[in-house]
Order: sequence, then C-alpha cells, then structure tokens
Amino acid sequence: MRTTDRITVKPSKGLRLPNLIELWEKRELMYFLMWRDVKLRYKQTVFGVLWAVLQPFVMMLVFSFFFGKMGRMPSDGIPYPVFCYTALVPWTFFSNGITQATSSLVFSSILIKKIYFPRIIIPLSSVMSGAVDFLFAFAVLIGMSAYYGIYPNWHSWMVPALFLLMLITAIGVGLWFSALNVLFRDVRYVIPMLTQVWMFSTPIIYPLKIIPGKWRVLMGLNPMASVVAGFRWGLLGTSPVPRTMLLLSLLSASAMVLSGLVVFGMMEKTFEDMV
Amino acid sequence: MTNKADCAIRVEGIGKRYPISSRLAQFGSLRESMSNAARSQAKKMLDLLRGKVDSALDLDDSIWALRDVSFEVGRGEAVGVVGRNGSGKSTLLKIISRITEPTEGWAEINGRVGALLEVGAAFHPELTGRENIYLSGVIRGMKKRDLDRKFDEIVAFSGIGKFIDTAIKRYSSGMVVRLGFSVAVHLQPEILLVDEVLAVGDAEFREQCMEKMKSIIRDSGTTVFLVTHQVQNIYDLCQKTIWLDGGRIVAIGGTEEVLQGLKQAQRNTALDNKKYWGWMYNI
Repeated sequence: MRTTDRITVKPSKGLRLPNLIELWEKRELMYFLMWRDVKLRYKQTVFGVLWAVLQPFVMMLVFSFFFGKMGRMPSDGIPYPVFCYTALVPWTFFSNGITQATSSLVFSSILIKKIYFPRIIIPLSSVMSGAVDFLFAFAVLIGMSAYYGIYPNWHSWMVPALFLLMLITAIGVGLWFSALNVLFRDVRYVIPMLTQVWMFSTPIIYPLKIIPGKWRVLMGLNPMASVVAGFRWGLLGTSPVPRTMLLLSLLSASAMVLSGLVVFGMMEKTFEDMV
Repeated sequence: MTNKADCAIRVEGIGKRYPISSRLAQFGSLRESMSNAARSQAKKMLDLLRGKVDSALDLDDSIWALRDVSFEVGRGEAVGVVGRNGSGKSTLLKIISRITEPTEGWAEINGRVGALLEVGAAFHPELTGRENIYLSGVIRGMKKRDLDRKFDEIVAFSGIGKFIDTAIKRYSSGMVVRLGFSVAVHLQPEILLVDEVLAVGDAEFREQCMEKMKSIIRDSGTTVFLVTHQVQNIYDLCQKTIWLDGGRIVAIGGTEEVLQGLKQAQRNTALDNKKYWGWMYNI
C-alpha cells in the first residue's frame, strides 16, 4: 500500500493512455460503481431483476413468430426459439453495455467536475454492471435448452472465453463512444441506429451458415458474430466457428479496445470542462 | 522559506485557460455548408487526437481563469484562499486535486490529496445513508476496510442516527450536507482541499465542523487548503493566506496582513461605488 504519493501535475501533450496502473489500484471503486448501477437499475420496480430476463425473452418470442414461424428461417436444425435466445442473451449484454457506456460520462458530470478518480472507471463499470443481468438471462437459457432436450457439450468451455471476447469488444466501443459523446452529443442519437444495424449484421435471427463460405470468415471482423456463433456451438452443439474467423475477431476486438484506450486517454482532459 | 523535503505543494507558473464559447456548438448550422462542416469537424477530430485541444475547440474566445500562479505550501500548513467570485480560487483547487489539467506551468504534490469541493457530490438520492457513506467514501479514495472501521464514527458525527437506512432523497437538505461533511472529514488525507463547504448546515453543525477542522490542522499534521468567503474562518484556521484576483495572485503571506490588504481594497471599491452612486443616498 502507498503511504505517500508524489505527483507532478502538468499539461499533457500528444499520445496518452489512461493510467492503467491507477485503474488497478482503484479496482474497489469499479466494484462499487457496478454495485451502484445494479442496485439502482431495479430500485422501485415491481418486477425487479425479472426485467433482465424479460428483455431478451420477449425479443425471442417476437423473432420466433415472425422469422421462425412465418419466415421459416433455417436454424441449424435447432428449435428456432432456443436458437434465437442463445444469441439474444449475449447480444442483450453487448447492446445494453455500449448504450449505457455511451451516456455514462455525461450522466456522471457532477462526479467528474468535483472529484478526482480515473475517469475510465465510469464507462468500464457501466459495461460490466450488465454482467448480473447476463447471469440471470443465461440461467434461463440453460433451463430452456434443457426443456428442448439440449445439454451443454464438451465445447462449452468456449463460452467464458467468448464472454471475455464480447466484454473486450463492448469496452472498446464503450470507450470510443463515451468519450465522443462528451464532445458531440450527437453520439447518443447514433447509438440506437448503430445497435439495430449491428444486430442484423450479426447472425442472431439467422444462422452463420446462411453466409456463403468465402465470406463467412470475414464475418469475424465483427467480434459479435464469433461470440454468437460460438455460444451456439458451445451450448447447442451446432457446427464449430472457423478458427480463422475466431482469430479475426480477436484481432478486431483488440484493435477496438486499443484505439478506444488511445482516444479516451487523449480526450480525457477535456471532460471536466465539456461534460 | 520551506526546504524541499517539507514542501507539501509546490506550484510553478500555473495557468488555466477556459473557452468562453466554443464554435463546436454551431455544428450543423445552416451558415456552413454540410461539406464544409464535415471537413472542419474532421480537422477538429484530428487536432483533438493530436492533443491540440485549443484549436479543436476554437478557443479564440477564451479566458485565463488562472495565470502565473506560483507558491509553496509547507507540510502541515493551513492556507486560506480568498478573492471575489471568478477570481480563480476553485480552479486552483481543481488543478491541485487533478480534476482538471493546467494549460501551462506545473505543480508538485507530495501526499495523498482529499478534496471536498462539493458536499454530497458522490451521493445518489435513491441509495440509503449507509450505502452512500460507502459509495462516496470509495469514490473519494478510501478503502472499504477503512470505511468499515470508521463507519460508526462517521454516523455519530453526522447525527443522522436512525435514518441511516433511509434513502437520502427523503433527508432534509441539512441532513445530506451533514452526512457529506462527515464522510469528507474522515478521509484522513495528507492534503485536504476544502472549497466553501464550512458555510453549510445550522449554526451548531458549523461550530462542530470548525472544531473538527481545527483538530485536523492541530493534531494530524494535515496540510489544509481552505477556500472561503467567510473571512473569520480563515482568521481562525489559517496562518497563511493567498489572495487571488482575476486569476492572479495579488498577495500571499501571513493571514493578518493579506486580509488587511483585502479589507482595504474592498473599502476602496465601496468608496468608488459610493462616489458613483452617491446621489442615490440622498433620495
């Protein structure tokens, strides 16, 4: 533990990353902000944490009716509702995560103007506070698969790894948009559109197989394509995600989070005045 | 003066410039053609990424909230900061507490800083007093361990008593302030920055806060920076005072003489006013 700190305060110039060592020292704060977000989300609601499950579940019902039943969308031989819900559980975490992260800095303007702490904790904790919702929706997913007679297979170990891939992607996007939203409030209007477009470019209502062979791997540029296809692979036993596609997703997610860190680090100093 | 090892804060030529209005707000206005707007926005983004915030924000309309400020504060000293509204007092505290970066100059800070620029800034109205003590304590840099240990003391000081498990949106504003101040004085930083928060609460609580501040300064060797308009508080607590005006230091030194100078200046302004508005006194 540090007893004395010696700090030099001076104008920063050029390329600058957020202080990640300090972030690690303040991890307790991250935990507390996540706890606050979770606590506040369901305060004074009747259904409480049920909402966490309801959101992907209702989407699943709608999609199952229109795309599964009426549209006769192929679903890798898996009953359409569970096929669709398996993808909606990670997708809900992702889209809620980036939506909340985007407005997180602006919502915390009083904190930013009055108290010093590593600013990066704000978007990070708002992405991660969705993990609790994810766990509840995931429990329902396991129950639902069992109902259809589908049980986790020995590829299920992939699922935690894919969750991490998704987390990195959401953090990368969240860093970009939260910082940009401080300067350009236009960003929050872009987010609903972006999540719509992104959802339909991810194999959620359709199987990955629908994409022609040579293009399928390129889908990996969207890390969420690998996450969703991987969840189905690990939990429903559909065909494996091509290794090159996974690698491409890993590279793409790393690029997002690294560039996000740089952008955040350089815009950070304008937050106090612009937020 | 103080030798280097005893120095808690050293400030050298600190300046801070703020934009008054930024053209950023006019993005998409009809005056500019869309392509023009897009090009200039792209340039701004590039500037921003290169760290040229000024040109990115079109800082042609800017103001120096603080300029050429240099001083040293020894360990365990209590320093008062006085000056009119907008003289740069709060900006100075924001720079020392790292909330904002200086535009020029540098400052060296030796010791853990605890800043109380606004009571209850870290509170959330929906959470209970207990939850808010933990949340705001951790946001202000305390460890949960320390909060566990000091919890009873914080509650006792605040006088919140049985309402500790009530959501603070149901507290009176006085209660919120008391709770906020209690958390802040239990931070135990090595350098405590306080901005105009002693003027809160009722007379009894103000008295209690002053006592606490006195004991912090006297017993714990904490370096204290006190911004306030209550000159009496500075007389009571600080040996040294900085007088700011228009972002620059007017005087720095012993509290007695600096405040004497301030009083003289205020009297002169009042006389000037009377000369100008004198006819009104005859009506």
